[in-house]
Amino acid sequence: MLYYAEPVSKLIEELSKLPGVGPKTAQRLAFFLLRQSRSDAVALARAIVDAHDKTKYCSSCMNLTERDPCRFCCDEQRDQSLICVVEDPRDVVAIEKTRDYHGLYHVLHGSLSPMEGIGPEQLKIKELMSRLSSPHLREVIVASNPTVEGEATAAYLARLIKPMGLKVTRIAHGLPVGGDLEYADQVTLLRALEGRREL
Amino acid sequence: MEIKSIELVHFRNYEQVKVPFHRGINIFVGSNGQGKTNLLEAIALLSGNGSHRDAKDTDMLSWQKDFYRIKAEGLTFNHPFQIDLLYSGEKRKKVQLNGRTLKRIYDLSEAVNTVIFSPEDLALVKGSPSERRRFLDREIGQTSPAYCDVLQRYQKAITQRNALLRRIRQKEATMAELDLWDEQVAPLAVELLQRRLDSIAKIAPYARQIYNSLSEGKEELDLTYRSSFPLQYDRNYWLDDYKKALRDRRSEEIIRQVTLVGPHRDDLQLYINKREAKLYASQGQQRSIALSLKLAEIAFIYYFRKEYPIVLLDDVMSELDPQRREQLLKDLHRRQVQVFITTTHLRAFPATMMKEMALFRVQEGRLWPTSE
Repeated sequence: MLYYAEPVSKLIEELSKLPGVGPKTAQRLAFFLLRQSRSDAVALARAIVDAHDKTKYCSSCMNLTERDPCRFCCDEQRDQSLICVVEDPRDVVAIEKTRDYHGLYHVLHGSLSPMEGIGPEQLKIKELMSRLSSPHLREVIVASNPTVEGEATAAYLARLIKPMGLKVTRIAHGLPVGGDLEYADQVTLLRALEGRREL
Repeated sequence: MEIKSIELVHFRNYEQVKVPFHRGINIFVGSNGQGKTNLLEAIALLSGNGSHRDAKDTDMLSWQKDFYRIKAEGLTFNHPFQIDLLYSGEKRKKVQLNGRTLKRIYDLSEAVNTVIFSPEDLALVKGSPSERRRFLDREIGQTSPAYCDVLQRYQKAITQRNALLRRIRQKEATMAELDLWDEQVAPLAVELLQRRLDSIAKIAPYARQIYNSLSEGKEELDLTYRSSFPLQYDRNYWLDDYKKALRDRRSEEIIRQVTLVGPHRDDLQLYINKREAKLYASQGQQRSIALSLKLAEIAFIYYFRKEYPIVLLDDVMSELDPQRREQLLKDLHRRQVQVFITTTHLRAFPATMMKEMALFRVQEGRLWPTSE
């Protein structure tokens, strides 16, 4: 990096900290940004700082929000008997896009992973537990990812919540709807076979 | 099953090369260090099991290049397929089969299976249990993507569990968390175990018969699976057996900070005339056992697929005496198996078979057809 002017090296260094960005991509991005107008550069910088300054975790569901409580938690039209637990704010967006889920959410901000030092304490589980005393609540849907870590997280939550007399469910995994069987990858198809149900 | 042609770019010592292959026996001839084994490695990668030498993508990349690519065309059950493997510095290779991107590289086994026999395979008999587990995993994995999936999830769960044991030792995590990970690991362990035992039951008779004929009826080979924890006869109890083993070894595991029981600690035991081969087998017997296991693997794959895998013989012709050499080649030829062989000397090949083969000269990362 010694070959670039100091501010450019610094920019490349910062960019290469981004996920999925190696040194080469970082260089490409840096030079792209330098070719942009100053106002574009300022807009980007401001967007990053704003996103940081103007968002926080909703004190109830832990989703990222501008206002606390967030719009899902404020919305009295939403079904207060359901909480869908997800790993990441992006998962909330994914589920919202179905436009067919009208319950509440809870964002854990990760999944159990001893390798990364993530145990129950590091996830927003305490916050979830404190919501479970709501008299309207009937069911907790666990929508963590179908990975080893996501399944462990789901099992952990089930173990905590079930004794409280609440229904705990796990989302199904299987074939993409509307897809042809022949294009499904083998493992997905296999799981779908395992999860078959009687007609 | 057949590879019709392969193209390598920036792979090991190959700058760029494209070669059409013979549907029968292909021989790569050249001195040591010219790139013969690299070719076999590239072909083996087409079956999605990773390098037979356990090399990483960065090792297979040519010096100072930022990507390597392997493209191949071939036939399986007379249907054409194209494979495109591209490594460009990311964590994982990009893999396409017939233009479709595969999420999991082992799904390539849908098109290509390979069985490779190389001098390192002698370690199958005297080497550590991990060599024999690798043989089993490769063999079963090629016939079952489900096995690969379970194996990967199991390995991931064990890695997490080991990390947790370290954290418990350092008082950073609780026993309740360990219970949770035991629950995750256990069903995967039992599924692996069942699949391995089922496969051994299939492969053992093949290996036995092949070894018996190699020893001209004088010796018997037996394969048994040795689990790292006690198992009851009835499979329905295995989940309980495994959980009990985890409980029994828990305090020891926390001290040593690794998971001590499970399929990742098991072994495939080999016996000749009821004596453990690991302790007693001679050089010649080790060679015959390794060859028997590999030939049994070919039969095993055929049993499931009804099509023979591609056979890669790395510098092993000199290991066999002339009679066995000829026998092996004739056998493979008769079954119309596509074979790739590396050798330093053509002397090793029976003159009568030369017309059934394609010869390639390999030199400094280039290769070309030859007739000498």
